[in-house]
Amino acid sequence: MKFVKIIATTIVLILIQYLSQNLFLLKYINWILVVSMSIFWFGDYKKAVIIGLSAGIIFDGLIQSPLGITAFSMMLPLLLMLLIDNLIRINSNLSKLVIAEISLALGLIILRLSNFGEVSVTDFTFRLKETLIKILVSGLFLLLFSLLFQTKSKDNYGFRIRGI
Amino acid sequence: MQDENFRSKILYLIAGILFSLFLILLHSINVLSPLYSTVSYLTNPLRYSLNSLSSTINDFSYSITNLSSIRDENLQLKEETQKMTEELAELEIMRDENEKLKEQLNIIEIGDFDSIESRVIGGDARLDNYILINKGRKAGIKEKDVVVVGKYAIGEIVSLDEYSAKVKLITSLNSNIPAQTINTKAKGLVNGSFGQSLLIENVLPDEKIDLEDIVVTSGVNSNYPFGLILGKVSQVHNSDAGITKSADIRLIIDLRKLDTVFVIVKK
Repeated sequence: MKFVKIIATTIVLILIQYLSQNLFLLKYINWILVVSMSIFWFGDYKKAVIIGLSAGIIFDGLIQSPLGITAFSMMLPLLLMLLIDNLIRINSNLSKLVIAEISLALGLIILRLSNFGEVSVTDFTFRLKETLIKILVSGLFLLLFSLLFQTKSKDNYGFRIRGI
Repeated sequence: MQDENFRSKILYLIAGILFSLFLILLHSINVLSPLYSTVSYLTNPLRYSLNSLSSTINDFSYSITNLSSIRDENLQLKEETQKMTEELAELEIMRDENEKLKEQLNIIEIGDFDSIESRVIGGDARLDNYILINKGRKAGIKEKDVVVVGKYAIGEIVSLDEYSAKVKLITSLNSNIPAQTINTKAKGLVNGSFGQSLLIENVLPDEKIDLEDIVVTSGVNSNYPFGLILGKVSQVHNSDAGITKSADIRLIIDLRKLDTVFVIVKK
């Protein structure tokens, strides 16, 4: 049953990500990242890594990006989030969300900066603006997602995603 | 306990990162090409349906949020249609004259290109400035082949597998297409401008750029053949230093609504 749920979540993630590519607001969101981050943060990190990896790889295959790019861009914010959490060790849900947002921002900016090598100043400003919008919108969805799915948890994280 | 939990999480993440990097490495040495081709072949019909669905939703939401601008656009288009009908009549006369002159001068037109019809199956024309099409190497397409709709330039192929290809649109920030205006013959390089319109740059200061003049590809040192339409001049910028000129170009064709495109390949 667990396996079926993981497969179902992966397929849903890929579909949402693919469909939202052409949609004005939704295109700013990396759904794979946001959902994996939520699962990781509030639930089971093993599932988050497996779902994120498989959804990211299939999605890359569908849009003809180099395989592994989406998965890598997902792992970086997760790693940052984990490191910040380990340094600060907080239990407030709101603070956790703030940290998730900061990690998301750092991860996306690092990835973007690594692509800035050959572009002009105009491109840089444009890409930076685009990245900032992405961070903001993804953060809002992360917040919404977390609030929608929060329940009482048995572990230290205070949240657990229902049904996953 | 807490440390153990942290360690195992870190291990999972590092394993994930290493695996992703391994895949990126395999991609860079072209080991994954057969896999891409298989995925394309199996998923092309699904991708086309999904792309059509998302375009329909996108159009609907765009129409609702932009009702007033659509009305203005409609009025403007009506005026343009009227003007173009008149121009068309003049052009018909000129074409007849042109044909007669060609016969007299014994000029033979050689059709150097074949076109391959293909469907748009994905991509993001607005921000990432690329689209995916459902034809690839198998259909005879190669990298750097140019994609058009009628006489309008759409973009060029940047990567492909057996059954699909990725097209970098003309609105891409680094498209660098040699171009010229039709009436004044001002030459420059066309690049995307924030993904929504085009900009012709590096035009010499003594060259004239008229508003509403049509900009076409010049065919010089480029994969784009001569005469493909890029858009119309909407605003001219003179730099303070006066070294070069530039101008904004309004697209005539809506790149977000592409469904069928043609790849032109050399015979």
